[in-house]
Amino acid sequence: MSLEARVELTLGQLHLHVDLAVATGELVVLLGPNGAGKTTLLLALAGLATVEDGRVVLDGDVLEDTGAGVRVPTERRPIGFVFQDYLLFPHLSALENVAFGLRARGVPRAEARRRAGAWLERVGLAEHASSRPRALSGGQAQRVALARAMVADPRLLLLDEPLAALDVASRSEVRRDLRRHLASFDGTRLLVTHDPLEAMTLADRLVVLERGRVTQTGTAVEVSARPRSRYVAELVGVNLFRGLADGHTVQLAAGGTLVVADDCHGEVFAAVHPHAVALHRHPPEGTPRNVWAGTAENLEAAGDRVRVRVAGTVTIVAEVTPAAAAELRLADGGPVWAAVKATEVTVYPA
Amino acid sequence: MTGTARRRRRRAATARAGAPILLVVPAVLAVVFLAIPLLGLLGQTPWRNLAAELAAPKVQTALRLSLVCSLGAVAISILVGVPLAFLLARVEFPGRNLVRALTTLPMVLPPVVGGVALLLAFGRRGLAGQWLDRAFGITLPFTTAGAILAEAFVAMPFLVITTEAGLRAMDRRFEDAATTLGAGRWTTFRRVTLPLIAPSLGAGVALCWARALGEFGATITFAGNLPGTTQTMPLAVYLALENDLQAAIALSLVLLVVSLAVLIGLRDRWFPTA
Repeated sequence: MSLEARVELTLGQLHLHVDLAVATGELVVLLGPNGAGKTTLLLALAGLATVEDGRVVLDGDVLEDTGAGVRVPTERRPIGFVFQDYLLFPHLSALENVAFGLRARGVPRAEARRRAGAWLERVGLAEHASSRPRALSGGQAQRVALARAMVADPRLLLLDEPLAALDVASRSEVRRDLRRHLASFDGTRLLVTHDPLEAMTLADRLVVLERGRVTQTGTAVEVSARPRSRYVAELVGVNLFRGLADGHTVQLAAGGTLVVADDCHGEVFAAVHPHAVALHRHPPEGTPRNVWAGTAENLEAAGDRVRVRVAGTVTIVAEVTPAAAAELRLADGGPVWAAVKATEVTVYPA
Repeated sequence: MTGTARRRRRRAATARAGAPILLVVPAVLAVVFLAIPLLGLLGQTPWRNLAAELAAPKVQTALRLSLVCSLGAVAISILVGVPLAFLLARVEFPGRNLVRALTTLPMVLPPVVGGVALLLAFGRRGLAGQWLDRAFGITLPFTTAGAILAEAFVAMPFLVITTEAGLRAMDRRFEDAATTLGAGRWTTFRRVTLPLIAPSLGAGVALCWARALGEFGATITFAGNLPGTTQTMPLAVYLALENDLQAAIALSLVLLVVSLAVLIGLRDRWFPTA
């Protein structure tokens, strides 16, 4: 019982080619930069975008199979869809919006209104039942959209950036509510976001989508510990290198070498956290096995630390205290030495 | 910045700039030119016996016939014009721009030319008229049906253009949302598309009706000027000018009131205040 999907399609510049499996009860978050094809993938699963080649099976029912010529129309798929801007029908009240799906599926008017009312109560909007969407706040509209998508007991819930339309102030509260309502849903859930915080806090499992392809999957912890692309590395704020390992040295693809503690061979990724990078004004002596000369550039504040990019044979981002940045006079530019202990480098197969 | 604030600022800017006399004089002339005929009509209106004038059998006949013909023209326009608007807005087909140009042509074509063209097509010896006559024994010229046809020919473009614009302006993703909620084509159309384009559709119907009600050239050319059969209000006004000025003014007043009502009904559409 689950969703199994293979979707291939081309839409303008985007070539989407995705294999995806989501277990029932699992909340998978699709994370990726803008234009990666996340929304298109959701639309394809809903039958709103044309799949050129692929197969979508939900709980054993084939929704789409291009090979066999099967294509269940959107209105007959057991799905709920929360759109990024919610798309609440402006001419209907909140209650009528929620009841719409039930009415369209043939539920008698009175029962549809009763069930819709119960859902509005569940999301805490009972007193807004007769409000038009334009009279609702962003957070309220989002909850109506959620109730509307869930009222007909879909087996697959698709959410496209459900928090993106909200202002930052209301986002954390709505996120908490969203997590609670999503937890109460026992079907398959797939949520799209480009916000790493949203992804990390909501996901059972992350699927990273870049330029139409899955680049990494795993739990939030796994993904942030071992990023497999520059995009993810930047999201979680680590230095990511790729190279060819031979024992304790890695020949970096971009030039330079890296000495590591673990013994490994072949194509590898190497991740170094910026706070593990020490900076010196003179060539350091002693234990660090990796020392590179470079110039300090791009100083920026990151919380109570300062992030510095040291450009050289190996370009690396370091994180130092403001006091250290002042003492090293990093803002003046000039040569600096970046040092990383071999034990601070995480190496894993590419 | 709110709309009101923006408007206020714009108004303030205009006030600061002042009103150059070079603009004011011709502008005032234009307003006077547009207003004087209306004032003349209102000034000449026999307000005391207006009711009696409007109750006169001749006037009543023209009123009733105009209502029948204009509503008939609106019905035809809705029946075939709205589907046409859908095709133009939603379906890519070869020659779509040509069809759209053809649809709009009656808006710029002199109505009398439309009447001549209708006569040549639907006249007894016309292209379609011949066939209608032979197959069904139907003749259109100089009948009420002919008057309805003439009005529909001239008025339909207003409905098609306005509805098409409404459909284009509508966010189609609302229809996608409806299908994800289990709504088929018909339910989606009835419960989502139609209500969302209702303002455009309403405006189109109002414009179409007003145009049909005022139609003169095509009607008199194609359907003639037979009292009770094809003599609609504008035709009656024109005829009454010769022998019964009071009746002409009374009928004109009715047409003026209808036009004003349509204008007021559509003011938010044409002169948005926000």
